[in-house]
Amino acid sequence: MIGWLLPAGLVALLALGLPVAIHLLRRPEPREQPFAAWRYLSAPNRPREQRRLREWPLLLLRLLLLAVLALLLARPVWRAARESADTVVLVAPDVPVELARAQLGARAAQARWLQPGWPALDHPPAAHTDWALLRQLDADLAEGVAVDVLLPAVVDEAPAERLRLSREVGWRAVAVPASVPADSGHEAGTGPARIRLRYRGDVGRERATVDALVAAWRASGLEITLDAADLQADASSGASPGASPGVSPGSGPDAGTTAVQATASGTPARVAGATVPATATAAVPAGLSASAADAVPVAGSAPAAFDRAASTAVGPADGLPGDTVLAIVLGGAPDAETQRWVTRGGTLLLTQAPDGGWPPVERAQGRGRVFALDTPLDPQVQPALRDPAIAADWRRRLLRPAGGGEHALAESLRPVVAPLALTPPARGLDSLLMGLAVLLLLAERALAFWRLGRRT
Amino acid sequence: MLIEPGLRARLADLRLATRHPVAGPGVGLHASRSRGAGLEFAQYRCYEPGDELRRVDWKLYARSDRFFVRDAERDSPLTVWILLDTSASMAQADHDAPARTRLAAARVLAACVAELALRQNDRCGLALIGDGRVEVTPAAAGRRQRDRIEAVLQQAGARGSWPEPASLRPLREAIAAGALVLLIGDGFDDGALVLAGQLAAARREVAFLRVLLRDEREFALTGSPRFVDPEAPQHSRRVDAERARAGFLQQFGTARHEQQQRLARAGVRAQDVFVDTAPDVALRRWFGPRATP
Repeated sequence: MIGWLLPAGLVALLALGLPVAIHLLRRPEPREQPFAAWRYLSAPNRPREQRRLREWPLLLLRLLLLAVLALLLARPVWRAARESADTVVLVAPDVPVELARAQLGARAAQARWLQPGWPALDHPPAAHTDWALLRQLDADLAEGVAVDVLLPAVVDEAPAERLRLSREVGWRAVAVPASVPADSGHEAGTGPARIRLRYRGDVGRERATVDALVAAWRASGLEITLDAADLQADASSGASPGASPGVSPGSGPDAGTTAVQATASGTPARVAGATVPATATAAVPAGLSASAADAVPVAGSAPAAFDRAASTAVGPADGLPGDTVLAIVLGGAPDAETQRWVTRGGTLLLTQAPDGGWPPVERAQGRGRVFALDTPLDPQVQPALRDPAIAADWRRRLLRPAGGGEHALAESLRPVVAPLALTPPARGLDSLLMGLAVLLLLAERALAFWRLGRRT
Repeated sequence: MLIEPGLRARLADLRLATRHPVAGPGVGLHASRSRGAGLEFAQYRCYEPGDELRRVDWKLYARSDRFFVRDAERDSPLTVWILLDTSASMAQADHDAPARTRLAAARVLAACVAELALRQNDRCGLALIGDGRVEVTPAAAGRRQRDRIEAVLQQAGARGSWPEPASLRPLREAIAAGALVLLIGDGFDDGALVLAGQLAAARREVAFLRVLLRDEREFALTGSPRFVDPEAPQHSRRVDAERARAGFLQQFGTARHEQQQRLARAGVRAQDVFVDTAPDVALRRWFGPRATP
């Protein structure tokens, strides 16, 4: 397929009129024909004013030459048409094969997974959807080839921004029956959120910081339950954390378990649980206290919602209460239960982690996230914790459920049609046309001289 | 070498002949009005004293008791004159074959006639008539004459116009009575036709070979060229060739026919020769084995 880098150059095709006009207008002097029998020619009739094209082979060559030069100006490129099919049907890997086949019907045979390598539907897909592939395909495909995409109505791994493709894409959303409950009944922002805190031994100042953070978050309108437990105490008491899924304040042997009930709309943090050590309160950094009081920029009177869509991965089946939004492990490795929960999409804040840093280093674990600090959660060790903006910042980073921003309705992801920014892979035809032009020029000159020589 | 080998081969069975008996001394191929010893029986006549006894027909004497003498036709040599028109119109050629001029064709024709004449021991003379004068090569026989004629033909060029009748007088005198005169020209000069008529009237056997171009036969010209008279450039006509074609062919055909009739009335046999046909075809019609003189 021929494309033009500079289609305006095609205007030069207008120059084709020039040789035609020249060949029409340039009438050679009437040639003299010696003719002894001139008497027998009938009386001189007016020679016809015929607008006949003279030397039409020469004209043809000249027209061709001009056309080639004009095309050369338009910078033609050759784009190989990669797909012979008129429509490329793609299926997002989240759509079950059976459903895709049912939806596509006869077109299922040519349908491909939206995956690297474009495997057919017969091959099982990987669980991962790479939306960038769609962009690449759009750039590679020839113009005019339609793309149909079959994707679940609710997309798990939504792209960060709407795709900008050069063509209209058939965007078909199918309702995928959830294999796991779409939600654990806990609606974001309506019920209390639970923060799971695990520590080993005496973590006085760190604990105080956590409390101060929770207090600050509560002050900003969140309804937070803090579920704290000392792992060492658990171990010593022989109570397996996994054995008691629903951690209740009374499950551990007191063990510093705190249930914090926060009420909404800026009421000062009220500790409903029991034993917040006095030292901890004393150790709360001034910044945190300040942010708890007034600095958290949450507007509105309604309780601020977690920006949380349906979190399908995290549920009560994992052994943690369904409303758990954050696990904090102060020092040491997290317990197996927490690990599992994080892998399924939870968020974990680790302190004194060897791979941590400041600000907390975020890494993915399974479908969840782990924020690692290299220091204890202690303002004396890490002075940056005194920053008043920490509470708001961490709320934004930690309390956002894993994958929360990536879930989206398929309809909202419908790609925007935008011109292709990249030049698609194309082969320049300049040299070819240049050679052709030179050949035509030589042929034209040769023919012109030959004609001239024959006429005289 | 005006006659190419193929043509020379085709000339082998041609023989120049006159329609009338030839009068003249010598022994040659041609029927003669002089009677005497010869091969072809002519008549019996009574014996006169002085006749050779061997010419007496003794069988007839036995039957009739009188002496009769067998008289035979005496074959006699012929003088062939080639009059070649070299006026400017002879330089004309077909528009698509510029080398094939009328003169070139006429030259080959003349060479052929000279070849035929000299091959049968006839005398051959040549006159180039053009550019206002006449260039005469006196009649002679023999191999040298052939070379001479060929040389003259080779350097003959077509220019000028037909000479005045007065300058043609030496030519008329040079051509003896009874000679075969072949006038090769294009017939566009009235002087040539007049000369042919005069020579025929003066008991010379005149044949007129009119060399015509293919353009004059088919008029396959295109465009609107200016048609110029080669001998009088002030005479010209600019005509659209395609539109004029039918009219020209019709008019010229009529004119050719009229000219032939006029020549026939004057006792001149005439024939059109086209430059794109072989020269021997025209000669064969007159001088071939089954020629109808």
